[in-house]
Amino acid sequence: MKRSILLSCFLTGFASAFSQADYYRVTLQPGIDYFHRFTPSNNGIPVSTMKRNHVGMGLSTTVFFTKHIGLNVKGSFTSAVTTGKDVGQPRASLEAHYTPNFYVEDAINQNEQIPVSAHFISVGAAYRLVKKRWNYQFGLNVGAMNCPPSNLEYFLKESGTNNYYSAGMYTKMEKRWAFVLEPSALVSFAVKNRLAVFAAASYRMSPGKIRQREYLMNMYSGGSISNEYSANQLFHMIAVNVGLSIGIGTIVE
Amino acid sequence: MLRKTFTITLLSLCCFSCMKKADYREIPVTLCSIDVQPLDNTGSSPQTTTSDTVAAQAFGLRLLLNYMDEAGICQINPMETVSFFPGCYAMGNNGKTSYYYVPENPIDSLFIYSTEDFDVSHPAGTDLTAFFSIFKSYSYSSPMDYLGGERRILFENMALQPKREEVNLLLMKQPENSGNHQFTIRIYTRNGELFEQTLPSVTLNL
Repeated sequence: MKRSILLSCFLTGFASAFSQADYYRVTLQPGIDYFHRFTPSNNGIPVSTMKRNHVGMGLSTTVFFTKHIGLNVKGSFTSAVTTGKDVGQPRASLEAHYTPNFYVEDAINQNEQIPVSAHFISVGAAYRLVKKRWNYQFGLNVGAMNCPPSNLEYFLKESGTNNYYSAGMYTKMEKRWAFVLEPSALVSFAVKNRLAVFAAASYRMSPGKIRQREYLMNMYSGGSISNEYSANQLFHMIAVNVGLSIGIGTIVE
Repeated sequence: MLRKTFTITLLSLCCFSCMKKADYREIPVTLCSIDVQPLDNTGSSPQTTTSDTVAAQAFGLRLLLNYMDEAGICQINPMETVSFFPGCYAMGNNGKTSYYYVPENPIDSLFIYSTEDFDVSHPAGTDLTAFFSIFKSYSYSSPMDYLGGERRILFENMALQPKREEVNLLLMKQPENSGNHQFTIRIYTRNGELFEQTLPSVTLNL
């Protein structure tokens, strides 16, 4: 903790010798994006499989019409970070869905293309405030993002019989691109004229219809059953971005 | 000090005896006896049952095949679970050496009979083997596809004498009438040996 404070003081002091935050006309903010998509609820669909963490590259540009108000455009391209949780988490909902008619066997495979990527693009209003070398920016964007489909494969044993089934649950969004509303906050610290480092956080809400197709194949007879489920959901995500903030153009007076 | 050195040496010897170089060994074994038990597969996995009534849809037969190796033991030792070096036995299949057991008297044919009529075309005494299936490694096999031919067996516990292979024969076709079935399994080997066991009668509920 002490070391962090000392380092911050050093960096602040070092930067203050060179830097000056100003109301530049345009700011360009390339950085690294991380977002976590929370598990959708099970209402209307049997299995929660779309919980994911994504990491990738993001770019944000804001054009200011006045000292404080501007138009922000941003986008990101991210890949899913697969974790053990992604595989382990659906098991509980699979068991809840199939009990008491079936038993879920041990092997559950998440069969999907790697990397599982997600794209995000938005536009909105930005408000900024510069205090010495600190720049605070708040925004409200609307945009669109896509979410990759998910595919689970597993085996079931039918309760009370000798029948075993090969089964799968394919999940996808009904529309490739879903509407997103994103309030955000950003803080940047000028390390040189026109150059700053920034950290931002945002909360994304995205309503969308989720579709799930379930198939079961009796491994003895070869007979198959297919079911479809759909439900309207409100997806919640948190996003964190860090990177460089570059001031471009004239200074707005 | 001497005692400590001796203990360390003994432990090291035990550990090194477990760590063998990666290789592959085929060990000849001989099918020497069988044991058959009724199965109830109502739950998540097949369980042997002593009940005289089982749902036909979940009925099966557990076939235990006992193999003897060069030690020539075909009698189950009641003290077999007692071991001073369990770690060495645990190395078996997951250790560096792969052991495959090759039966010298492979199964030539297998028959399953019932004392009761199964359906119109399968009166009492006709072979019902085609109605049974083995579910292993997430696929069904017919009993002879699984048990017949040249086989290399991986035993779950290589330390046991005799070596034991457990196979669940699941009934995949329902009899026409519920009735008291007394099943008999008959196995012929290529060497002409016959192994046979008859189960107590069981009512198959439809």
